[in-house]
Amino acid sequence: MSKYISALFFFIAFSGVVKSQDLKDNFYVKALSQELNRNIERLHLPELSKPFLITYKLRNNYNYVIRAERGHITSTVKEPSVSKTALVKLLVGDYHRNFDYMQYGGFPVTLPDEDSADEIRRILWLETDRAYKNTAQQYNATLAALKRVTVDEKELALDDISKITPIVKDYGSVSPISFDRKKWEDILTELSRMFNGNPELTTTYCQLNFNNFEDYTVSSEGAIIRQPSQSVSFTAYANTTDEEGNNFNEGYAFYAKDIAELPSLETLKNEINKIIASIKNSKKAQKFEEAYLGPVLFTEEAVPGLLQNMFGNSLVTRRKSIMGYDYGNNDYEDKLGQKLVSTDLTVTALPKLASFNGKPTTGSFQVDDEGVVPPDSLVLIKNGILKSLLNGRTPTQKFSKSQGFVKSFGGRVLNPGVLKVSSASTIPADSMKQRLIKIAREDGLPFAYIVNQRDYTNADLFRVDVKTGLKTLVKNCRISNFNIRSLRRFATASNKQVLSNMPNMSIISPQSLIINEVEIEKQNKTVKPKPTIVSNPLLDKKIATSRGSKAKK
Amino acid sequence: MKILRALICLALLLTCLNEIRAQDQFYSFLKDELQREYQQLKTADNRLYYMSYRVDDIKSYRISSSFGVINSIDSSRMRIFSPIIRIGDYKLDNTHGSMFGQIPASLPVTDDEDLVKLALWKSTDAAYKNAAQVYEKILTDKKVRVTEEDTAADFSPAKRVNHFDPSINYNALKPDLTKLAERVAGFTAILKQNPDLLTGNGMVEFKITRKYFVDTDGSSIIENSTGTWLSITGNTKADDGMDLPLYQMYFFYLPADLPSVDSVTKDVKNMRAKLNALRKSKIADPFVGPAILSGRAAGVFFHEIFGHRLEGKRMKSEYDGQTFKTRLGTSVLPSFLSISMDPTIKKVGHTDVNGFYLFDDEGVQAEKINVVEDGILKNFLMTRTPINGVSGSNGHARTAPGGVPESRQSNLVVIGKHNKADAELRQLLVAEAKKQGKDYGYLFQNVQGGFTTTGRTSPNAFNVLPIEVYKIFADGRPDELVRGVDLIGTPLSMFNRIIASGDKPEIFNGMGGAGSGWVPVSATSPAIFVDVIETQKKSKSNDRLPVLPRPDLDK
Repeated sequence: MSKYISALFFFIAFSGVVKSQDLKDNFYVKALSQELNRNIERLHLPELSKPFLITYKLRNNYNYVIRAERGHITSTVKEPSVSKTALVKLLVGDYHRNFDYMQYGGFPVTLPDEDSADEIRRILWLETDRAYKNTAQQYNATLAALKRVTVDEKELALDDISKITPIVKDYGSVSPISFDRKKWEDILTELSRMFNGNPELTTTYCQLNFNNFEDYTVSSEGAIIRQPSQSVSFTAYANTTDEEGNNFNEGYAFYAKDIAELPSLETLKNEINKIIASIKNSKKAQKFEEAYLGPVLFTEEAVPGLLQNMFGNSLVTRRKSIMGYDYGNNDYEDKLGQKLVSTDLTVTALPKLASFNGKPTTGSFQVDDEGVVPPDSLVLIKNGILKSLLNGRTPTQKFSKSQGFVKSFGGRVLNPGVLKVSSASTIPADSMKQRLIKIAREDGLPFAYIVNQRDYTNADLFRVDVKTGLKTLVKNCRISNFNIRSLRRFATASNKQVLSNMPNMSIISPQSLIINEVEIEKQNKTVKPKPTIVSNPLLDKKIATSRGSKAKK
Repeated sequence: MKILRALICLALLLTCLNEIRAQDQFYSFLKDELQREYQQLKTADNRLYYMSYRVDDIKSYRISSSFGVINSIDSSRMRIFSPIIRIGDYKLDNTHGSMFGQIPASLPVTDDEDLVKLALWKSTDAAYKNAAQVYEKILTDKKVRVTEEDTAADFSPAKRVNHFDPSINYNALKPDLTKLAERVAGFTAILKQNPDLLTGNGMVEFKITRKYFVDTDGSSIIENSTGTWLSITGNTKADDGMDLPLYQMYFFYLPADLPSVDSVTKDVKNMRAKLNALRKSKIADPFVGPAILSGRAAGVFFHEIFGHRLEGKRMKSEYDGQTFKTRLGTSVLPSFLSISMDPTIKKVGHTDVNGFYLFDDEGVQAEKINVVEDGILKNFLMTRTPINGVSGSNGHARTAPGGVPESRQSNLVVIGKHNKADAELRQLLVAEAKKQGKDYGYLFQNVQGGFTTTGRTSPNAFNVLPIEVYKIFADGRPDELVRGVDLIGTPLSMFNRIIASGDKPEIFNGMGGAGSGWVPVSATSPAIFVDVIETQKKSKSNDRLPVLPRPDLDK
């Protein structure tokens, strides 16, 4: 037994070594490492501090867009594009004082398509030299400026960047974009042609976007990482204006990791038909003229739209500038332990969750863009109480270490990856409308409202008659004064959790939810563009064609 | 096998026929939609009196390289739509005094009638609304301002033109990108061998343009053109921080006509050696004294100090310096110099020149204009916008795709009489330097370009940007390469200082920039001897040389 365990241990350890050695032998890693080592060891100007931290990143990017309009492929680029970008981040000073959070997240440069270690290194060499001179200048200038002000001791005591345990890990590569182009061109052509029967729709398209990339990170701290990313999206859009100059548009978007996950042709056809019907209905909809304060049922796309707005990028730490700049952002760190939203709501970041109910998530990641592995789960709000915040390597008073949530190639954008919002109070999905009516009736309201669009603040709404339960579409309204505090008036949610994928983020949430005391008012647009003077050429053609066919008869 | 080959040929033929049919259809879409729009807009607003549609359909191939490596190989196709709407009348319309206000748009690259017409319809509406708003403002301005100096009309009639170039066979014109990439990478690899170079880049760009023009006066034009640029750039840095770039540029209509590998290799090696010499050269101090401008330098000099001041439409503006507006028929240059602007030529001698076109961007046939004959100013570069004393376009309305056509240059050709050989020009310079008590004069051998200001609100000066300048010593010492010199001056004071011209014309092909964007131009001139020029120090970077050596040399 002991032999077996030893052998197994040896195998695991050895395979780990082989993997990390494979990564160290990777062409890009070698080029980045060689240039990085040379610079961290020898880049130094007399009487200036040496750089103490250099990070190189390299992104191999594969992009492709196919667009179809009115039954024709209109994108002119016929092959996926391949590009490479590098990013140089260099810090002068030490971990405690380097003003990192006051500087750019890095300096981007374009690399040649052809793989050449000499060229990659030459470009990095020039950019590192430039970054060093700029950063050293800024560092000294900021140190000098600090002498003019008195800074809160506690803020001054914070490090400017936290130390990490660097990882050497290969999370895999991505392949160049590969799919059945002819099949998808035919699908897009067919779908986009569905708009042709509606000549009043003057802008219409269907589009497929691919974006695959692999990021390499090499740092003077010892990190060597390769991580892949793959995404594909289908979007459809239509737009028209009426005789009064009112604009109507409707869209559909589906995000996935792989083209095989996109909906079937029949589903996509249904979505196109929904877009057409929605615009027609919107044109005919009644205008919202009153003011409303009462319960609103958020459903379909409005739910991830709302939750992304409320929690997506806002529950994050913010470092106060010691130079006194105030960006006016909400500082949630002071509110930790306090009630932020309804006690029924719990919000959790699940950055590594690769799938939900068998459906891949588009937002998940294994390591963040600062080389830190995030936890499997981080509770941000528990039973309405703010428990934690997303952060990266910039320390703040209550978060000295990175939790690994920076997700941007050259910036410091914090992202939960996968965000789960759950409710302690749920009812069956098919009871939600009845509950909405019940709450409205109890409030003495004749109507209640339902919203189902992602841009919920400016969407058309369904007005529900409390007496009859009948729904009527209304337009020219907006949900106002709605912010995270509005979720204190959360009433209930449906008992079914669903996954909504978006670019770079996924949200797992109840399918629908009701919030009380939502304000709705009419749009106060006093100006709108005049309608187009000349008649729509498609309508003219339709008239000419019908006249022609009548004449023939 | 024969059947297969025949089928392939048939398929290719059908593809070509489809492409050709699509190009003809696109023209008819433009024409039909223009008529439809004009009729309906005219009914809605009877002040509308003229409309035109211009579309630049551009297919581009680009290859870039650095230090022997291929950076990218790209191709793209785009259609840029420029509607012109004129509201008012010939005397006063919405374009009065304006060089801007165009609302360009991109059109889909498709032969689908509905998509093309929808895009035209939307852009035309925006252009009409913009024109109507501007016209109202102009009417108000007229009421609150004093009478303008130039009372000529805003627009003039032009001869109706119908010209149709054949459809383009894009497949036949497609260059061998792999071969071109190998060539340009080979040239930039030569630069890598110079350890002092920080960058060594190359670019090949081949553009195929099919330009469509239709207007409500009944003109219809389809004109094809092509242009190929090969540029090689090397950049080093002096110890004092001065960036020292050198360029080698070649223009030809077709990629197949680019110079041989051996010929470009020789030029690039020569440039590589000059960059080394430049690094070691001294910075020149500001100077006033005699100089020789090589043919290329003189071409840019005439383009800047003279050509821009003959652009008729800009003289309508009271903000313009109007250097020559009242000088027609008078002496403006030494009597041994004549200058023409000739967009009708594709070559000067055996060299392709970049300013050729058949029709300008207002649909007027291009004409050769002798602007200066024996030193006497004879004509201006005119668009359909007249100025006091000069009316009628001579086909020089030009713009970058999407811009408002302005009076612009084309192929500028300077011709001298009583020309002198290089040695004679040098003798003149030495003699003049001695006469002025100077140790040396300057030879401006090569330039990267230049610029000038023609307005009234700032000094009416020019600046030619030399990149290869030599001191020629009066005492016979060898010539000395110097750096950091810009050739400056004010135009009127310069003209009488031109003493002699050389006997060999040289050609500068480039892009001319002004209010209407970048347009292809050329300048051909013999070398000139000027008895007094002025130089100033060139602005320079203060950045140190990189701390570490270039990675490939850091062994």
